[in-house]
Amino acid sequence: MATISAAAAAALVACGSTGGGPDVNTDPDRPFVLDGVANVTRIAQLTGPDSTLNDTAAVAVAGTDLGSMFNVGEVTYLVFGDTFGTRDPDAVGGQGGNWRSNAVAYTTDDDPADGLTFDGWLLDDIGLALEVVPGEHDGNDAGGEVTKIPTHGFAVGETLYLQYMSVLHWGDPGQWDANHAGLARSTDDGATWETLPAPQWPGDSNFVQVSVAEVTEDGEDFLYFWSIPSGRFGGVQLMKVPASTEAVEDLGAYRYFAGTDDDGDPIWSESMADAQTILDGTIGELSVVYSPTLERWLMTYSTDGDAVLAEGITPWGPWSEPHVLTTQAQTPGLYSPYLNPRYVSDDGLTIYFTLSIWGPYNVFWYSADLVPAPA
Amino acid sequence: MRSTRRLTGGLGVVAATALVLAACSGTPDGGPEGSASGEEVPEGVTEVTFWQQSFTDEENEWYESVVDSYNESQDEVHVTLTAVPGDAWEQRMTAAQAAGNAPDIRTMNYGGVRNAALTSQITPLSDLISAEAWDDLQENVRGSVTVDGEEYAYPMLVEPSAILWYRTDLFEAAGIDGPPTTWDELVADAELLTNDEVFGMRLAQNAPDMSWSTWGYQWNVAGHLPISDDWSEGMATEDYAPLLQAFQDLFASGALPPADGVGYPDASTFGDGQYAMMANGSWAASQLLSDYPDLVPNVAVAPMPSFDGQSGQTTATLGGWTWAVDGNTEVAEEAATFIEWALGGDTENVVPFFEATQFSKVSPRVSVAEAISALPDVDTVNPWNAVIQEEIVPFAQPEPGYPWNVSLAMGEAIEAAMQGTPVSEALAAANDKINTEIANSQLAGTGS
Repeated sequence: MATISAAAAAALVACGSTGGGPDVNTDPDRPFVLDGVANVTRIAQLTGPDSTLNDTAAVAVAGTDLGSMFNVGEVTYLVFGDTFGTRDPDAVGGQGGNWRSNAVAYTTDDDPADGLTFDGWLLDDIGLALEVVPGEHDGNDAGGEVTKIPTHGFAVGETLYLQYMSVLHWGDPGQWDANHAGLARSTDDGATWETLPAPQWPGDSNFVQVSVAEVTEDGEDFLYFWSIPSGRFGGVQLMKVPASTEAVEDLGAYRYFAGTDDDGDPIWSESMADAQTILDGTIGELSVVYSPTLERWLMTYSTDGDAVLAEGITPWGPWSEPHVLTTQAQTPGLYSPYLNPRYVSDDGLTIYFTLSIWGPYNVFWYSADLVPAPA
Repeated sequence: MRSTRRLTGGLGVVAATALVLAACSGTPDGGPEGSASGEEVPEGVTEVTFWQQSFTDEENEWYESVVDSYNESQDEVHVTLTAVPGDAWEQRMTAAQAAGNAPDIRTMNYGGVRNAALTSQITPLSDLISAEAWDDLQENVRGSVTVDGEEYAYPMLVEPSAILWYRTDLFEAAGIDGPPTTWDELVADAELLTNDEVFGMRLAQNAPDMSWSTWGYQWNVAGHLPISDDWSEGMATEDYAPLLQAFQDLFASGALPPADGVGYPDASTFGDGQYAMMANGSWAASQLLSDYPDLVPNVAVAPMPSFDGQSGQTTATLGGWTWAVDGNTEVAEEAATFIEWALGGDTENVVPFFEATQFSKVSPRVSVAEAISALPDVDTVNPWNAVIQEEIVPFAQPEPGYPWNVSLAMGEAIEAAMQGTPVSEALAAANDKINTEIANSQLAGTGS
């Protein structure tokens, strides 16, 4: 459970979140090193009345989902989507009273093996979980904005960002339309947030939902954004931006992965229209982390209702066939498997992830063992 | 709006470490953030906090403007306004009360005043607001905020909470001439009007909304409310059976669909053309006029039908909003002074609210009502105003003042009947719940 030792505190002197990204290896001619996954285990329920770890009722969180993670120093922020303060005990899906479009918890728990105990939540003025990026809460057919769903957060130094999608309409299961995607920013450790007027990506673009990682190229720090369109039925494209607040907030500073040249080096275009799909398929909410022990990229996502993990040789692939973490049949109502580079066993072969379940509409904590391929 | 950074507990760190944390992106500050609006309260000025239930944009804008005007009009008191969404109200209020920082002023239903007064949750205002302001109120509305001879809230508006809104074009197409006058007729018309495109009728869709929106029908069908006058025993008798049966029949016929996802007071799905008829309050006028102007020529209103077909009966309650001052406030006088300035003083401060809401609500103040009736274009702006004022408001009853759980018991019974529970069984369960509430809250003898 969470403690901060003097040593850990000393390590915080070197805090600041950037500069820790892996050096990008662009050589695609390396083998896949994973054979599959094993021992997928539900460890704990993180949110809701049945969580034994976190009293989320105290901050008016009865039902929530997502739970993507980003790290700043010793602190991990968990970012949740539509959050309800009151719910019928047997309610399913996103419904209830005291609706907030998003909520954020934080933890310094450095032992993922027994679940994550939250240190606290970003709170409003009366001590309930704060809607950090206010949604308009228009009707689903009103042609406005139903909600603002944060898809991933990241930090540049001490500036926190949340990427969000503005939802125009929730359609059939797995289908929804977005107005746009954009960023919200906090410069006070998350206490207050400002929804930025720019940059924004069009709602019909492939850059509506993202997962972010820090990457170093020739000594320069970048943020990579693996991105999918709205809904759960598109492929993955990739964009990057220098890891500075100025660049992050400037749409013109973003570059889009447009394939590789004859030497196998990436081509980065200023034009979103040039973006190439790096993984085709029906990709739902995704997360991408680098595994320093495997020297490979790991991507979790949902597809055909199942939660899967794929291995990437470079940030743009090639990607392995998906290894099933758990199926819709095994875990009805699953979505949004999210990794965190911090929550990996010492040998790199056990990963931990959040997973949302539609009924009871809360977030759970899982582990899975990675099975290396025979050498 | 934090003046100092505070590190919250739970980390068990020594001070030196805390300094390091503060210098990095460490523990977020979970402390109070001050006013939600982020406004600065000037030094030496008394702050009065004010929570309003968030309504339409037009209403919220009026709240903001009247607060801003008051703050600019003097430099002793600063009112800090927070608009709280309806579905968050109870949870936020409970949390604020538990933390000892409930707002000094809050919006409150007429129905909530009596219980809040009896339990000292709100402060008597008789001596803090001038006699002139009290005397300007219509007597029956003043009575709604009076408990044991003391006024406990200042009324802002009244609005009948159940009116029949119907599509004249669809009625014509179906060969129906005029709105239904009995519930049997309503059920029959709704079935006739239902097709692939539209549902015949929209009513409250869940127990909480059914609890309050049906008070008028409850009065009408039974001639009494489901608790004795002195609040000593449940009266959810078979007298209510026709009402529960009507809900059951409407739902069974498919004319009343499963929930469409928006609350009873929201007229948007009717505006979108999904229904031929809708029960809704007078407030729906401003939503239809603002958001669905193309539909307006094809929409008419009538009183909700009665069970015996006679007109001029109670089929609606007069709901609406008052402003009350918290029982634990330390600035009761300042709060009351603001309330009188904003609601009970110069009519020019209040009339814009009724204009902004397109005369879909009624002022309980005689002088304000006169000022509004002198405006040239009320009926032009709100084509339904005359029917509402003449055929519905005069026969409406004030909201009942018994605790919410009594109303909820009836709402749950109506919902259960709608979903197929035998009517008698649903009513018996409601009566049991009401008697339980009477015992739990020691209501016997406290009724009015």
